[in-house]
Amino acid sequence: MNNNYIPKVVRIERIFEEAPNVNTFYIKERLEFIPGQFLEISYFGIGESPISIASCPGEEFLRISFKRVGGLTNNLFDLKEGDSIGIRGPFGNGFPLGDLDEKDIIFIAGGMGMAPLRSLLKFIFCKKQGNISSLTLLYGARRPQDILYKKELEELGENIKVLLTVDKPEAGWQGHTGVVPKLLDKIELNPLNTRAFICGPEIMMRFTVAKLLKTGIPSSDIIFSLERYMKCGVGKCGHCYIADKFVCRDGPVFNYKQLSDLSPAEIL
Amino acid sequence: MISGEHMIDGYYNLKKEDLKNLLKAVIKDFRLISPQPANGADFLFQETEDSGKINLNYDITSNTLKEFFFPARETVFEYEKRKDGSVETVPGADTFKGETVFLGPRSCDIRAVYFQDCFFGKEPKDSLYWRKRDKSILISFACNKPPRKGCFCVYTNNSGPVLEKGEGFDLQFIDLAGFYLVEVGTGKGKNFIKKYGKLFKQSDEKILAKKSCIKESCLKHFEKEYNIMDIYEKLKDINLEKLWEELGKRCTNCGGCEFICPTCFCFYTQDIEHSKGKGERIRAWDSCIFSGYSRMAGGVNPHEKNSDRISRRFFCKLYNCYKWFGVFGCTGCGRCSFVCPVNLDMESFIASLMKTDRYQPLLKEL
Ligand SMILES: Cc1cc2nc3c(=O)[nH]c(=O)nc-3n(C[C@H](O)[C@H](O)[C@H](O)COP(=O)(O)OP(=O)(O)OC[C@H]3O[C@@H](n4cnc5c(N)ncnc54)[C@H](O)[C@@H]3O)c2cc1C
Ligand code: SF4
Ligand code: SF4
Ligand code: FES
Repeated sequence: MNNNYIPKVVRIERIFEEAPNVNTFYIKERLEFIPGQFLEISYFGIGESPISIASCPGEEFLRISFKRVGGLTNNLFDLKEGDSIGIRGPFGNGFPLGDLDEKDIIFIAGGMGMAPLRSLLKFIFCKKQGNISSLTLLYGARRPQDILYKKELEELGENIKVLLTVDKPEAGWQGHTGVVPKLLDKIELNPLNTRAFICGPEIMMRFTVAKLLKTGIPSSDIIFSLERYMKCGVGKCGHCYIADKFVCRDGPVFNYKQLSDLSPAEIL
Repeated sequence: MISGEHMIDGYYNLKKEDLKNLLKAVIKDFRLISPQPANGADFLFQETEDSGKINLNYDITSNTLKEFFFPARETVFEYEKRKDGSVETVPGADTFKGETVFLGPRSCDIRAVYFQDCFFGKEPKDSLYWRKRDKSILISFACNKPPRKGCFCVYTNNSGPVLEKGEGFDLQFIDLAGFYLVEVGTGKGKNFIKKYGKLFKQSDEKILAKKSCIKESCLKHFEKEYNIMDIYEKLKDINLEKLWEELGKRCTNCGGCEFICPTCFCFYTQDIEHSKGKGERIRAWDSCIFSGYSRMAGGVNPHEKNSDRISRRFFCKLYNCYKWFGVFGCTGCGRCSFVCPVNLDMESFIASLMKTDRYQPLLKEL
């Protein structure tokens, strides 16, 4: 039995400044994973944090994008290309990829929530595009310069409708202003043929889910990735539990029906 | 040798005066951990090489077997950073020294290990736990009488007072006045008997029948007031908001109830740098009662309220654990009642829950 808490030491091949205080590491590591799964990232001497895999299965590099928020993430910013970090994983269930044919798919991202959705979006865009009825991305960030993967999003072209919004617009901003759920007013929805994938701050997800439910989308077609404090990633340390589920192992991806069926009810 | 007619497999007799000899032999061949008096009135499970120090006539130990398989703090790995930017990791040393016999745990102690086996055995198996657990043999002593007034094992899973095969012991000793009836629970137990075959004599059906007499007479000491399934159903079906608020006001967040609990499994991890670029990652017990237990980036805390965390503690033990493994996360040992400064222990909780009859359907908020 392997000691499943020892990270694998991997080299950072490339570092890209994605946005102010958000960096992406490119790592050469062949890993089988599903979009929506995450890694436990170690900075030795500081600790470990769950970070989503932002790359799409099959891409040359494994990518993670992280935001400077505290102890561990601050230290990741000190690392240079060629330095090492520890990784454990992939962990979690990942997004459900089945039954997408002929669906209208909406990705709804807020802030760092774009990272796991980049993986999913790329995956669906590359592998499934022909069979999908329509693709839409609604994405909000604080300021225009906080938008992640901007160049890539522009390059996606006509096959996906992209609506961007920011809280604090600046001169020259051509996108929308305001919170992400407001973008839902700007698009036509066919509630019974829609599958929504959401990731972002809890408050953004709460309002988005409420709005989607109102349009009549079945709660099982509203799929989101939940954030919880995590230590182990494998259903042992206890930290991430909601009702009788461990978010790290049974999640982080749930649909709204699963969440509202939990007892005691966990409020999003 | 007892009459050869109705001899049965898997049951043996051990004369009481032979227990001393057994202990001496075990100490030679294994590491032995047994209850011993410590600091005056308290008993502790401790390693010993002097069989004279062992006292099996104890009420309850202040520590539990949890600390041997899942210690309060252990090294997960050590690391050293290299000049070229790479890092070397070395698994933490196994501090569990050699094959170990635990002799003297009570039925509830064994049920707690059974629970943790389920928990740490669920895939992916917890290697740090199993590398210790796999090297241990559990010899439990059934209770002829509840050793303390605060015992309530009977109400939680029938964690005691006398166990059945498959409930966690490798061997169970049942005190039948002049001798022990020894019940084999596992292959490990069987090998143990083989090893000390001279001391054990095969038992017979007549003697085995006494096991249920002991069990029944012990059960008479418990005033059965409630059934754990009633508690389970009640937790599930009624709105207990008011009760949680009341309890939340009382709890001081000390975490004592969870550190002393033999089934609680939560831990945190932390890196400790001993010198520049060199250190270890440890894991140590954590408690879901602590206010920072689920606090996330940006200060978002889904369980900020005391009442919320108290409800999670009791839900976990009396509801989640049962859903996961068909056993409750409380063995009825009563230890939390020693430590809680505000009498918010499991037994008092169950008592208040059973008194609560606000039977409203659970309001699920969307
Ligand atoms: C499944 C999952 C995927 C994630 N993916 C990404 C991602 O792709 N990019 C990204 O930037 N962030 C992601 N996060 C959030 C990220 O894990 C936290 O921002 C990070 O752990 C903060 O660590 P820190 O040491 O820098 O901050 P700390 O100094 O530890 O603390 C800052 C705050 O973060 C809280 N915190 C500490 N550790 C964790 C933890 N393990 N989980 C949640 N909160 C924590 C602390 O309680 C504190 O309030 C993800 C979280 C989860 C659960
Ligand atoms: S909750 Fe209390 S009584 Fe139950 S097993 Fe834990 S310490 Fe013992
Ligand atoms: S021992 Fe009592 S006061 Fe302390 S955390 Fe537990 S319930 Fe709260
Ligand atoms: S992160 Fe440890 S149980 Fe989920």
